[in-house]
Amino acid sequence: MVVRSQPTPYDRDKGVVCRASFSARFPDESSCVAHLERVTGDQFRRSESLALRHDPELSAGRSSVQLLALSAAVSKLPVIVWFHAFYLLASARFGLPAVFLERYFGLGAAEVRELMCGFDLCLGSIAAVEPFDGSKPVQIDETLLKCQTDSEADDGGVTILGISDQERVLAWPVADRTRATLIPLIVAHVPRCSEIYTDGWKAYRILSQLGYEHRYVRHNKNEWLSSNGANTFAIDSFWAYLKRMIRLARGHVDRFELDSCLLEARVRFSHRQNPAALLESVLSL
Amino acid sequence: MTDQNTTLDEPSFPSLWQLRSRFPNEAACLEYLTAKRLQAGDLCGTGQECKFSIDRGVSALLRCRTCLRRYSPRTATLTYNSNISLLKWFELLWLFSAMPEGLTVDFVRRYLGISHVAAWRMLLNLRLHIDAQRRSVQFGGDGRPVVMTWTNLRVRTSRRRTLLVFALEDGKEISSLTCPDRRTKYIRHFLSERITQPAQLIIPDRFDCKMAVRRYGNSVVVRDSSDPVGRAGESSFVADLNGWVKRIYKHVRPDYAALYVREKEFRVALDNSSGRMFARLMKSFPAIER
Repeated sequence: MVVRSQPTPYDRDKGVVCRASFSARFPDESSCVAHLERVTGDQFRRSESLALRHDPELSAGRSSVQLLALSAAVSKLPVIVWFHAFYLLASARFGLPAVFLERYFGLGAAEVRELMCGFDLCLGSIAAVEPFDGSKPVQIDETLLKCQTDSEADDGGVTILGISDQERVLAWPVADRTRATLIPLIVAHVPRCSEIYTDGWKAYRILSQLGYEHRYVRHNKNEWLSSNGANTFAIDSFWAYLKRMIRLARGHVDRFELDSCLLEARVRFSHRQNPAALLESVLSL
Repeated sequence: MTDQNTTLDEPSFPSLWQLRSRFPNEAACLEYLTAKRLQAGDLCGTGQECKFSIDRGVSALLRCRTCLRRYSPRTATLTYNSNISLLKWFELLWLFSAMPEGLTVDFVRRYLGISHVAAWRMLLNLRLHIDAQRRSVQFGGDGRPVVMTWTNLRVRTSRRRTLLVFALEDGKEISSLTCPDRRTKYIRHFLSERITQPAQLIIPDRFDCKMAVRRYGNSVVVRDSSDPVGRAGESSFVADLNGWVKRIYKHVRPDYAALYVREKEFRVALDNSSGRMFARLMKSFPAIER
């Protein structure tokens, strides 16, 4: 019987870094600090300044590793914990529940919250926000997401508008699904003359008059792929991914954390075929 | 090889890093397993009091002094015939108990750096092991009340869309039966296996297999749906079963549905406590499966 005690490169070809390989690369605190110093070019030192943590300008123009170094500097947690938490969060397809990280590192809820906020901060720096270039057809759809809210009058449903060009997704919570709400966002992010695929919702009917090449599928007629090739498969798969991520990793999503949830889903969805690329982006490996 | 001072009680590991410091390499895992097997005794399956010693000639083999056969410490355990190292098996056990609701094949594959098939087989073996361990759970005796509940479990198939899951509950202890339909023979067999007479069986008023239960000779109390004691179909176990499968595994095939239900049963019975689940798995891990 052959026992494989060493990590095999089996899944490296498929864009996966296993825990043993990661631990071999970052076995202790000093190797993690050395990596941070090498990538950022600054000497890593602990800081007591809590102001850094709440600085709204913190993420502006900084790379994810610089943000990681800043987060680790103001934290009391060892840098190796930050690295391994980022490894776990980046390599799980749908994210991880906070309870798992608490058990994994033997930490408290507040410390794990700190790690997850740091990860969200780094995801924000690698998430693309620039408009689509119009070279590919974009798919536009909206969905209703149930959020937890304290208000009894509010049923917790939030409408999300999503635009996808097969590679990346932009998504925002919107007040409603009326033409006045949806069209300005589309115009701001999709260049004119682009090919747009939507469902048959009447708010989108005006797109052809705005200079877009608009094609749609009538879901109410059980039509999912029209004869001219229009479909909403890519954006629908993002909705499925988003909702599964919420169910699996968070259980539910609160109103106040909806933006960070959408950001995480967008970045994860873009890297879902290659989680190693997400890890490389976050840690600049 | 085996250190006599090695602690053989199931240690608790509040974090995975503590598990790794206790089992830093394959040799440490093998040493632990060997010590457990020596402690357990009957490996040959002869039913006799076999005495084992470690074969000095061949590393890490156990030799029975009665029949002179040699065995690997992994023989007949969860890890038998597996090429995956014990280190990874131990980590899998820890991950399985630490993940709050369930562990997916995809995470195991990525985390341990193994193929999808290997990860799937490891989890399947683990669920089979849990299934084997939980088959002997008994209820009733001395007229103790046992609540019987049921639900339909949605499975992924083109022909049959749901399976029926019956559950016996006595406080935190749960035992379930997954069957294709509500034919009497399934229920009778299940009750005869799991309930020690005399027992008081509490079933819901909308339960349409009352005759099957009565014929077996149970003392049956039919509870109204509004009665909180017998609100069958609304207990945490059966009520959340479909949601849990969808949330964690997305869908299950009918062939393996019973194993997933058993996993849920295991988690609910141990209160989803990672420490208790890991201790239970480590305790039963070296048990011989025939």
